[in-house]
Amino acid sequence: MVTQYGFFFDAAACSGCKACQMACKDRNDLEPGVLWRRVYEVAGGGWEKKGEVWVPSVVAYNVSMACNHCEKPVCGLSCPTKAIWKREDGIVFVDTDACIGCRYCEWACPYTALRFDARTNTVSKCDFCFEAIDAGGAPACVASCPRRALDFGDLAELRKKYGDVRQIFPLPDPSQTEPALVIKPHRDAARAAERAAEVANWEEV
Amino acid sequence: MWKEWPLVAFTIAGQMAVGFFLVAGFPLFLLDGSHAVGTTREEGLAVLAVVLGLLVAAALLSFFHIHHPLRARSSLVNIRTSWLSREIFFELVFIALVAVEIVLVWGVSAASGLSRGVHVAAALAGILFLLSMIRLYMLETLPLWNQAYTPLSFALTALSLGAIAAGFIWGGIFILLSLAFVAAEIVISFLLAPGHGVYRSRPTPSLRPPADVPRYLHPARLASSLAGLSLLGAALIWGRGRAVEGLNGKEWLVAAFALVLAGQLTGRFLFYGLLARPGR
Repeated sequence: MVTQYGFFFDAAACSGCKACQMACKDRNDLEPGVLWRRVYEVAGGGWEKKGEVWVPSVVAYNVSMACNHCEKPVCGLSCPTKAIWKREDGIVFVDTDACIGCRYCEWACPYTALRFDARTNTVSKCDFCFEAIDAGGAPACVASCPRRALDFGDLAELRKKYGDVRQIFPLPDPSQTEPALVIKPHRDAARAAERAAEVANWEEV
Repeated sequence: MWKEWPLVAFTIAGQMAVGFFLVAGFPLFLLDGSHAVGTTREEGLAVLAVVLGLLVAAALLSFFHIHHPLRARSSLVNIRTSWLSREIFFELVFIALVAVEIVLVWGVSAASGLSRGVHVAAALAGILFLLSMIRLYMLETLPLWNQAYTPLSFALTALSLGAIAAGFIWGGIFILLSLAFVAAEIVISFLLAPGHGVYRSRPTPSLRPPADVPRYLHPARLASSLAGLSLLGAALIWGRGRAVEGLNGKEWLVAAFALVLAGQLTGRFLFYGLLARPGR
């Protein structure tokens, strides 16, 4: 039995097409402005002089991010009503009938996974498409990726298959929440910080 | 940023209540020691009534922050891990103990051991309320708030507003205290501003959107607090040690309180504005 579901994200393969984002919105009938999965476009660098030659030092890649169903879910630990809870298989849920809409979890989550939904006046977030999972299917984001940059499964298995990288720029320190996430970094990720990279599409995420 | 007004109002009112209660308890130790709060029964009741009024107002204002106020009673269920639950719990305990102290001072004797015991318990609840309010924002995942500025500014808000309020009644040492607290608040706001992100520096890496806070807020906050500080100095001079006896001193004090409060409100809007919420 799965004790902790997790996502795998291949930053080297992601083209930034946002099919995962759209599939998530479609499956969960999300309002405009509410995004459970988001694709961050990370960009930085410019030109640098090497000897007598100017060469491009651009870094550019995408990060597809949803709730990471953390092993230490700070959102749930900080929720005053216990509206955020973790199932036996590690999936973190929001009980919208218990949520008071204080939005404290929105601040607590460093992955900004919790999103306020004006329809219900509560926060909402990725539920791992649990109905599809329970029926033997895959989350909408994983199923929709044309480049197979996303995968899901038991976290221990994902780590065996893909390694144990959990952080690339600009993700937060994983020790804060122990995210159920495995990443294959893009080659530019290691140089992103030194080249002052930033998220280039804030208005979209 | 402006949408966070209920939190701004709640934290300022709550902190002022704690500060006033703690500072107004000084006469118990400094003066004749016969009353838990104030030097006379009337003064004690006035202080307690103001503290209770501020706490009730803070509690009511907090309802504007939550989107399902009818479910608010369930906000106490996660005391084990949530600082927000703890904050609400200690505020309710503080309110209850201040109300009990009012009954005791009104009906029994302010100098009784029981009322003093209740006063000490209420002071403890008030301190825990303030500490919960501080810890609530000091999560490891919130590097912008998880630093010295948060506890220092919250505590100094409580102490400076509380000391000025006490200065209305007793003048003298309380105006001097408020001068020290307001000056300290200005110094820490100035010194810790870069780390706190008021110059658009924010902890990276981060998936949080950059804050869009008007640049004038920080200097406006400092200017307002500095003007308040000057007027407190004037109140000390014109009040000649006991503001309540000198009308001039009291008027300076009212103006100083308004300016310091305006500085605190501005600073608090800045505090919340620096951590932008993602999405809508």
